[in-house]
Amino acid sequence: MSMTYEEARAALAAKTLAEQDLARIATCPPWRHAAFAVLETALVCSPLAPVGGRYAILAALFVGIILIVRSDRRRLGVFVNGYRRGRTRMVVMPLLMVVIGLYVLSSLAALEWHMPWISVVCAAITFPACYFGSMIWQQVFRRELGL
Amino acid sequence: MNSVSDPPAMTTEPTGFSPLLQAPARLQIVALLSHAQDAEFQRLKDVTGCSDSVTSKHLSALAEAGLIRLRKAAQDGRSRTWASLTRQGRATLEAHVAALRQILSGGGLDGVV
Repeated sequence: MSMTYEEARAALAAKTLAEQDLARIATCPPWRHAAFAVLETALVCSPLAPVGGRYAILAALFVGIILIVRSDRRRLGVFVNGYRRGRTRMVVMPLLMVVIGLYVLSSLAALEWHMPWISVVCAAITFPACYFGSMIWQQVFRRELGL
Repeated sequence: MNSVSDPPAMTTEPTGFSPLLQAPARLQIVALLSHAQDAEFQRLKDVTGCSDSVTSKHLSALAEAGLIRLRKAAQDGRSRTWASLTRQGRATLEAHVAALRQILSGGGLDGVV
């Protein structure tokens, strides 16, 4: 069993090529970013609905996540989890904090303060935040994998 | 593998070097899986450029060593194989890549492992 300097260099180059292939494969079309943003927006909107509707929205969200994962696997033959290790966590964690903050604010506005317009504003912020957050995530992912 | 009575090996393997990942295709499979939750057989075959049978052998070897996990899932009426990286696989990959970098930097061994 031997490995020369050149073989080690070739092995690392092959690894980089495979990672770059993955970065190219996993590039999302605009509808995929929008689908993620719609799910997050629906979550932030959910306190506006009556109790039964809220459960229905949460169930729809769950189904939506399953459909997106299934679609990614079918289209790409691979699934990249948004919460994966790496530099993309620098994007996903702040985005998660923003969505949780907007959801809490929306819940308080709709259920405690009875000011539903605040929930609507929160939802209006959530969609672009998640859409562009998803695009930034992808840029960071591509850069991390050498593209 | 040396027996107990064998003299110590004269070569200086860098720490973490994994002979199992010496084949570039295996390294590529494990590297791809380190960034993805799972990947389908056909995708791994495309990325490595290996044939069906060679890809299958690489996957079996990696699974037997506990570096990846294989599962079958039905899709479009056909059974497809999906692979995912284990915790052991991630640790082995990280150590192996560090060893390769050590080889490139000239530390740990002098051209031969």
